[in-house]
Amino acid sequence: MKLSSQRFGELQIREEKIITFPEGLIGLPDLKRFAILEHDGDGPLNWLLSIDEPEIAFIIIDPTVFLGEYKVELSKVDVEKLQLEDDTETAIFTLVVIPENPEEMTANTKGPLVINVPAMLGHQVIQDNPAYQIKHRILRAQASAKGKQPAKKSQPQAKQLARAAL
Amino acid sequence: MLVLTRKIDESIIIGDNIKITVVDVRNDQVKLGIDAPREIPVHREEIYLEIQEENRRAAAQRMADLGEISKLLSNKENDQ
Repeated sequence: MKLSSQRFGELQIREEKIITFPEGLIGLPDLKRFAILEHDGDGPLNWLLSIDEPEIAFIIIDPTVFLGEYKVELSKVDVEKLQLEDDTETAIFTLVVIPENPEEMTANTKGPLVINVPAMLGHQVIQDNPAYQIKHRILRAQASAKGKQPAKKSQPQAKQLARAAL
Repeated sequence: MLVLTRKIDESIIIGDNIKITVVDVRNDQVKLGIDAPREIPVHREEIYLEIQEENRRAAAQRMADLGEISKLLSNKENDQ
């Protein structure tokens, strides 16, 4: 599929790399199809490009990168929407907001995106866990997670999903 | 919208299996008890609205150099 956006220019996205969120994101129901794009270079942040609205791209991060451990609780309804079986491979990302001072960037750990990888099906779920926050300070959390569990160096799930997206 | 008046300890039933009870009323706060099957998610409206707002904020970001910003994270990792 051919797309063009100011940010990324002309893009050719392979159909099998498109992740469908049947309900869109919370408050953004029209954004239903996305592709993960890697940026140049290595690092845990990636783009989640809206196929429906190519001028919109979210920044995503695997929350285990800064929390060490991140547990998502899914309701029965979430599991059904995502068509998950016991052993379905999933990927979990959180949306990042980068303010003027990038050191203050936050991730929404209260509303993670869960993806059924083989079906390329996604859903944004709400987490009631009080440890998670709408504006979870990434660098602060990473600093305090130090020593508990080593943070991952990279984000293999995003890489896998993004690889050959173009 | 259906509007019902309830006293403390009175309930309403929604469908076959959701029961909402007024547990306490104090000043301008109402405490509700909710009995619902596990598969029915129950959330405060605010959290939806907050996530909605944060999603919109996340959608409205300008171009950022993710390579540079990612370095902030990897630097911290290397400090270990």
